[in-house]
Amino acid sequence: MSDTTPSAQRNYASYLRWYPTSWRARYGDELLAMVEDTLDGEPAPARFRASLLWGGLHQHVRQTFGNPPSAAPADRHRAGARLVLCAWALFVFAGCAFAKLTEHWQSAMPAAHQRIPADAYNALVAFAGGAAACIAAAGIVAIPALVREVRRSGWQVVPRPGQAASCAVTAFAVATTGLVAWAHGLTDHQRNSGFGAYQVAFVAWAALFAVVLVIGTAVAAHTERKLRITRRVANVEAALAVGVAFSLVAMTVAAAVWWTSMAAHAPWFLHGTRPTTAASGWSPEIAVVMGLMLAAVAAATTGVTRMRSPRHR
Amino acid sequence: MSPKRATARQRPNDPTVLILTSLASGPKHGHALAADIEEFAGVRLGPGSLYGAITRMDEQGLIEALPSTDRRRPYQLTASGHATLTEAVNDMRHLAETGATRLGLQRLPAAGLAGAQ
Repeated sequence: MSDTTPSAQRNYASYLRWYPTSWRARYGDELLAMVEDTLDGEPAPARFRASLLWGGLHQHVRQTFGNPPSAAPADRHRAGARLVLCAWALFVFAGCAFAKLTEHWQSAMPAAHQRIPADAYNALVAFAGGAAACIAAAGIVAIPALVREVRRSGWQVVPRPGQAASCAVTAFAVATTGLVAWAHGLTDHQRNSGFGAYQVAFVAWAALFAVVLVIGTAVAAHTERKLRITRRVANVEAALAVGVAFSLVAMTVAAAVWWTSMAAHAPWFLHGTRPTTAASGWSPEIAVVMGLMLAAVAAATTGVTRMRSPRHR
Repeated sequence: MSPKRATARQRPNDPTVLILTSLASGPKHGHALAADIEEFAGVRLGPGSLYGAITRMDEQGLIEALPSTDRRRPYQLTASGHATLTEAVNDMRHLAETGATRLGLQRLPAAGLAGAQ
């Protein structure tokens, strides 16, 4: 057991900042003692710090989505619902990319073959609305618990990234307004890969959108975990989560049907070439989007499965 | 998690097996655990991996913390942890014996691990 200098102790303690507060309250002191004994006053190697960083993030994930073996059914339902929420956020990003990639597809598809892709596209949009309604309803049913918690312990129930989320949402709103105003002054060709500056701005806007989604979802999940909600509300949230998961599956199937149909009858659209040009039905961009959708479906399915049985990791 | 399912997922270099094996010789705190594991298995567990496993095993009831006067809190095996380690060791023994037999090597000497506590 070494004598560690105060400054080194301070540095070592900062390595634990990646861990959740509640975890640090239980294990923080002994982990810090282990770090001090191991490093003996020396600076931590990169691999050592990476282990702590990874361990801290893992504990955040476990606390947000995992259940101890003794978790009550209501806690399992809530943990599963939080994972479905994250799956939905990932799907929103994929869905927006899909919407952008498939803009004006009707004009490329021969009228005789429009019915199947149109039905698939309309189903996708309808299920997207249904999933969004379920998410909104889940937020609404949690509001009374949020109000009670704020009255009891103040706004600290909302994690610190909540401020970052507010800033990100504001920046996103301003960026969206500016981009829409700019887009109205451009032609279709300029908006769709004909104008480099607009493309750069659009990519930056998409990145900001992803940041807003990630921070917003993390804040919502962490806040929900801190709320004391009744079993009835937990059951409602679970039912809504199942509805969201089902919608994600349906949307993925609809997107696959749309892609298959376009590949069969209007493959040129997938490559941005002129109608009737010979082209394959393979599109790397659509494939990436479909991959994200499938990942979201896998996460949502995992969340629903965890509602039914205890999780241990 | 049932002990059977836990064992099915474990391998000799699994942190759970390493920690259980280390604690089989007596209670240890985090630094002593890491040093012992490195000595007998040649595996250097990072602090994040070690305490991730300790957290999980503590929740599963495989290990338990002992009272301590300083920050270095020692852990010891529980009955469930002992049973899980016994089953894991027996599984690994069976695997090793199968490999030894097929390679024509000398069989491992029998030891009264099963059910020992």
